[in-house]
Amino acid sequence: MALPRFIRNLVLARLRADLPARLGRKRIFILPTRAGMVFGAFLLAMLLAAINYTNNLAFLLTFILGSVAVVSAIHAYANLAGLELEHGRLLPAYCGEEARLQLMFRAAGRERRRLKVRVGQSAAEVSLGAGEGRELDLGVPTTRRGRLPLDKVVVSTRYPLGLFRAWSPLILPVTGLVYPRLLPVEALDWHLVQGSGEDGGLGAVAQSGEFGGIRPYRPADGPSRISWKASARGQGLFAKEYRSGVARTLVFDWNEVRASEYEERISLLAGLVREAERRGLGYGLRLPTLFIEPGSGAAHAHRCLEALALLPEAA
Amino acid sequence: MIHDKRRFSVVLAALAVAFAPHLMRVPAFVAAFVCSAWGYALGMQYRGWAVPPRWLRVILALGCLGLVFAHYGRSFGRDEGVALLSLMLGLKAVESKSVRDMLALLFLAYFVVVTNVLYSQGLLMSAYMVLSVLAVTAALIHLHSARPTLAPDLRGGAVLLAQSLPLALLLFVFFPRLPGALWGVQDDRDEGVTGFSDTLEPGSVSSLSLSGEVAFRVDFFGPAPDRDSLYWRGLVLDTFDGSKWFRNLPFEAAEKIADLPTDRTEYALTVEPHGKEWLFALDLPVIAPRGTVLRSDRTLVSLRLVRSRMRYDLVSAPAAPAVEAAGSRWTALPEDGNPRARELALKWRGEGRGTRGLIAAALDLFREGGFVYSLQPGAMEGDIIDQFLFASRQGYCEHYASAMTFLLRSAGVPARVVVGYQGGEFNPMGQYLIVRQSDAHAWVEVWEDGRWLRVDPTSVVAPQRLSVGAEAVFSPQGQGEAVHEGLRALRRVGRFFQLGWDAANNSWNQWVLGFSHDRQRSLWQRLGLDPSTRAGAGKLAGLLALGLAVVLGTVFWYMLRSRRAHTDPVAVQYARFCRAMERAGLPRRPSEGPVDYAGRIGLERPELGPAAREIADAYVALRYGVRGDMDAFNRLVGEFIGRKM
Repeated sequence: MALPRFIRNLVLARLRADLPARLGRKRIFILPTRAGMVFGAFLLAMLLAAINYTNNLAFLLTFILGSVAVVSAIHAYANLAGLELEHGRLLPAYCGEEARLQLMFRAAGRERRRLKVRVGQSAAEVSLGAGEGRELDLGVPTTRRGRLPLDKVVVSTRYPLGLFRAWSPLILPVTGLVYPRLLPVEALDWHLVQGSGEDGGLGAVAQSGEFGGIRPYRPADGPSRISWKASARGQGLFAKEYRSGVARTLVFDWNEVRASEYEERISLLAGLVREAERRGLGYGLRLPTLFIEPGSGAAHAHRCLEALALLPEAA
Repeated sequence: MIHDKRRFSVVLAALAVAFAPHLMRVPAFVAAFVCSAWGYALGMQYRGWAVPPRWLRVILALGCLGLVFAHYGRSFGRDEGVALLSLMLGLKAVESKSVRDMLALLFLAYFVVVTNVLYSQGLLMSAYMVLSVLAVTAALIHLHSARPTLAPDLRGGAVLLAQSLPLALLLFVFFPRLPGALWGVQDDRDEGVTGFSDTLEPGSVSSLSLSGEVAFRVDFFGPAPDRDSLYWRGLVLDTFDGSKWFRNLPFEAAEKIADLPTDRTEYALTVEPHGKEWLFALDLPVIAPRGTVLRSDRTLVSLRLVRSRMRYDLVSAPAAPAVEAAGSRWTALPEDGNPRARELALKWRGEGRGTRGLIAAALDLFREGGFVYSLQPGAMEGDIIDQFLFASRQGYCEHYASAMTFLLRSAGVPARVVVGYQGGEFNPMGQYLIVRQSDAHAWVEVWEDGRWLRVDPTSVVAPQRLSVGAEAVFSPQGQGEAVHEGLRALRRVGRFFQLGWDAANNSWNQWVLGFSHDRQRSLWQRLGLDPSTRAGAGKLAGLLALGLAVVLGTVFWYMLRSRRAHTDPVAVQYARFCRAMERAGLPRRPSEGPVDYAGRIGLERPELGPAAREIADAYVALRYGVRGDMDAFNRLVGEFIGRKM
């Protein structure tokens, strides 16, 4: 955009919204669509004909159609105004995959028809009954690891007549995280990974991830721990338990990974974390500036991947 | 291909509604083409018929264009335009693929609705046009709403239209009207309108006598004159060529009168378009309204041909001054012909009668000479005055007026024929007078004592013509035939509705179609505003701004207000329960869930506790449980409200 920076900043400041956000007067814009402009030209021609022929019925019809257009603009505005965006979440994704953006909309007070929500190239449509809330799921492409600032979200509508488009751009305080790009599993060099304290590569670990029984599922367990076989009996969810004494803990070390490039090293470590988490192993991460104690579970995996994602760019 | 067949059918239905009035107006081949194109388009949607290839569509379009031009010739006007528009509607429907195409179709449909204005501006047609606008708008909404059913969008269209009407009316009233056209208008509307011509010959008035068409309507500002003095002057005819009377007067405007006479009648006359320049005024007009000229013979002409309904304010007074009947113009007759009438006139004159005496002699002749007032006097040729006076003795008002003028002129008395209308029907529902073509009339004016004296020979032959009108005279009743009592009652009811309908049409004509530059000005003047001054224009702009603010503000408020979700039956029932408790003095706190609320009810009103608890449980089961029982919940709430609290 060729706007001076300070104007751009002013505009952006205006569009910034805190969650939960409510679409109001200040951030709803409305302009005629192309169809609306054609309609306007057609009305103008009718008005000229009515003036020239001093035909009052033509006047009346022109004014009725013109008023219908104006009132439809109010309807379009009302279709957006008061719409609530209750929360927005940008789920982490591996670089190159689409990050899922989840936006929870609620139609406060009135019914809403055909709202189009667009973020970047990705768009979705939704209609809401009065008071109804619904979560929209949009994909956001990722190109590099690290923080992913959410692009402007635009909610728009052409309802009811398509003559006007009302839209509301929102800059949300939502930031996503892009994990490092994954390399194919075959690229992972498990044997070169050194355990901490004890010796043994992944081969040993893989054997020693021994199954210790089944117990009721706790939310903290993470989906990878669910024993689907046991849960399928319909008496609630069950989690697999691993005998902690047997499972060896691994520490993936920055310096031990065999990689030629900086980013490749990060990708390899991320792949190891993911693979270890998938196999239910305990693992830790040693980075040049950070050491993460061994552990397991989704939260732990996220911590490790986040640390990798936020590593500074190659010097 | 549009995937949504339903939406396409809805669009086509809206098109059909908009096009229906044109179906009979366009040539048969256009109607057939449009209908089959729409049928094929439906077939494409529902039966998967192939899209006609592009070359075929081009050939069809060119072929239709050629047919239209072959049908109408080289001229291009209203009918040709509508025919082309109809063809476009057909072709466009066949090639519609996307939502945008359908949008274009619906815009075309709006345009088709508007073209109806060129054919009819009546009340019924206007109502139909608004209905068509509703249909097209609902289809547009349906196109954009993605609703599975049409009914809510139809309702939405009605709401949208209802909200637009006040704004449209505001614009209609305030939009400045120009006194004339912006550029030259070539009016090609049909001239097939009834009304009399500027010549008078046997049959020219009687041919109108059975036409119930309205000639003009009159609003009196004050008491209306008696029916038998309602003589509406149209034209003065001065020259007789042996077979017909016509106008051969040089144009001369009447002198302006300084003071209006005291014995005057003020009224507004709304004349239906008749395509000629003459206007009508009560005997005798004294002022010329804007856009008209008052001629020295006290007849009124419009500066432009009366091609649209025209309303003008008039003042008439019987005692208006007249121009001296100088020269031989008013006694001139053809050299020869009608010898017996001339002979009779000379005989009367020889008896030494004055002007008054001659008039009386002529009237006596009509009264006592066995003359009959008749619509079918039979054809006459040659010496028509003689034939009428001495042979057939049957005639309509034009025969009497013509013969009497001839007699008077033969006797050397200045006389002339006046054609116009006489009488009219008072419509009690609108407080105005309807003058129809059947009230067309011809009478005589005689120069006597420094003024033109009105003499109506018809009054002695058929006095009831003046008191009840020609239509009544020639109705079966008027002819003395027996009519069944029930039939008469039925006729009265019919008359009542006819008058009511005419009153509605008249209001429509006056207030909507007739809202001209002048009427707009007089409206501002009545509100004490003068748009030509700075202050007046400012006030007017302020008034418009206020009106817009109120109208649009109301729509805004209405659209932005919250509507509670009444669609959730559980919430509705629970809300009923809460309202009942509120009436019992124990409203639910915003922070309270159903279970807590039931608990508090149990504490404060132990006798209600168990029932409230049951309702809360049922509510929770419906909302959060696996199996809720809606019927049981309804019953519980019903019983709770039904019991005495």
